[in-house]
Amino acid sequence: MNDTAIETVGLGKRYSRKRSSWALRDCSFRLPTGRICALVGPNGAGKSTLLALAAGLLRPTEGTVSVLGRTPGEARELIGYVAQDKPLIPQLSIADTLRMGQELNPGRWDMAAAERIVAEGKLDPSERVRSLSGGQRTRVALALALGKRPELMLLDEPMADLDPLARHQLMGTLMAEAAENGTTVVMSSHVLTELEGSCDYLLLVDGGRVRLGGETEDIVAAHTLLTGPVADLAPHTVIEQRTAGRGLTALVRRDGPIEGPWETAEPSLEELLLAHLRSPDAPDLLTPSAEHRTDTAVRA
Amino acid sequence: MNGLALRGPDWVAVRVHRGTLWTAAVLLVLSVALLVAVPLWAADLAEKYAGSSCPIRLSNGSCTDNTWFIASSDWAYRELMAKAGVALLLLPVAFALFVAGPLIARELESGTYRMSWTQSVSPARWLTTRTVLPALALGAGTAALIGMYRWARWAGPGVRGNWYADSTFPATGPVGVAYVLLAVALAALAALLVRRTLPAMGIAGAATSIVIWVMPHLRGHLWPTTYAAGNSPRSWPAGPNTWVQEQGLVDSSGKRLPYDLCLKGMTDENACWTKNHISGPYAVFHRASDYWPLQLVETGIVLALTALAAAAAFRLLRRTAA
Repeated sequence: MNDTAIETVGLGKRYSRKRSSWALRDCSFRLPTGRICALVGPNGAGKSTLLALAAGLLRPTEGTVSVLGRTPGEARELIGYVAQDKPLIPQLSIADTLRMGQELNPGRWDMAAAERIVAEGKLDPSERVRSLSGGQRTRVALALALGKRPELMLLDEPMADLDPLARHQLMGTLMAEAAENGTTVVMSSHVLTELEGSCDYLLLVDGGRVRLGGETEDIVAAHTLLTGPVADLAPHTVIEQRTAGRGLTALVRRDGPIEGPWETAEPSLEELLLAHLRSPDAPDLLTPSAEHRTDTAVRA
Repeated sequence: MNGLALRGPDWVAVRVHRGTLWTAAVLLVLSVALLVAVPLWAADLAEKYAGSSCPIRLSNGSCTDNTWFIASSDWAYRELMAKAGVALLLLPVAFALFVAGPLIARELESGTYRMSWTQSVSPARWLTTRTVLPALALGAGTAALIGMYRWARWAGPGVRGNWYADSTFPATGPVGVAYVLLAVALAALAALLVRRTLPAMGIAGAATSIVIWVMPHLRGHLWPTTYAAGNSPRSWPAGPNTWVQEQGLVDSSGKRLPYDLCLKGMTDENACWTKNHISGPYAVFHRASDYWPLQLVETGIVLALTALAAAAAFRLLRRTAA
């Protein structure tokens, strides 16, 4: 059985040959199957590009990406993807949209599951997509993506533009479906902590590369927040430090136990992510499960 | 038309564009009805007129109404054949606009392609639906109209328009269908190149128009012509129903001279002929029997262009998406 949902090696994407602006560059990581992964990073970090590459909507400029052990094109029927603006055909009714899912996913489509997701939102199947609110539209887009029973769900900013209640409901629906089918889920968000409660895996993308990757717990546990007198922090890796007089606050990635005159605490996920974003030169950290295994993944 | 027999991406495309399809079907039925009714009406009145021994343009008593009806039916028939010929000539441009804009580029511009391409069908299949399906439907519709146009030319009172006229030639043979297929391929290529609705429609419409405008200029060269010279000054060497490419005067050594050589300056024409040793007029022309070779060669060229454009479109798509 394949236990790798996504694996990239040296993945890069540049949209224009003229400008040397890379949306994604030298990106290597692995996402094991069965995880609920938060793909976080500031606006323009390359999250959408990464998801579109994994979904087979774009071809890499360099490097490779493999999905469930195949090229994204070969894995098409195993992937559910919802783009940020929830593209649906506006003139179709909800019922027609689900029928479309059935026509476009022969042999995989689970109409009962798709209809259940729609019904949970108290939506009238005869209503046209054009007239739906943002939350209703997201629900239909999720029903379309989940109805094909994907092994990997790729969701680009799924909860943006939703009010807290709709967000809570839809996240509940998504998590229930994912748990029931053992689906791997990747959700992107530029709100760093929006997905904290739901996700057990983390990818921090910044400046077109993956800077942190691995189990959320392990990544948080690898770091310590120190407060105390100014002193040499070696051998620990300093991610960020601030000094005030003779006092010091530092976020370090530990190398062995902390020995010194400091008070230690575990940082919150938000503190950890912000510290990394403020310190672009801090070394990347991928936990062993997030290291890519093959030198050249399946040729995309 | 209701898509019951269609599956997969074809069902989706027909479902989304069923309004347009119904409109097109209604227009097709109306066009066919006109092409059937008007020639029959005109031919019927012309036949009755021929048996009535009524002189035309003379309003003496009982013949007046009859004459007026015949004249107006004949006029309606002429107008229909002229306008239908032009419509068939321009039909590929309209099809190019539809395929490039609403069918392909709009989906790329609005982003719904990201929904379509992440179902279980590949982008290539998505594009196949949007090219092969309209090519089949529009090609079949055009073929039906061309068949009706040919029948209307035959059934009406007297053949209207020369077989080689720019608005008759594509309306009467397979080349008219080939232009429709080329329009679809150019539209797909334009839509994938610019990925925006209005620019794609503009480029596809312009490219199709250019081909439709250029090809009549090349048409005469697509099959060997016939040369004939008359042996008396007043003879006409080409014969009836021929498409003259070149005409003039030929002298005793076989040298070709301009046809108006002896018409300039009101000189004595006979003296001019003698002075230049002119043996008679000549013409280079296509016989009516060249119609089918000309149709088939042009169809072949247009289909080759179609294949090139379609291959380029699919290649472009493959470079875009995995």
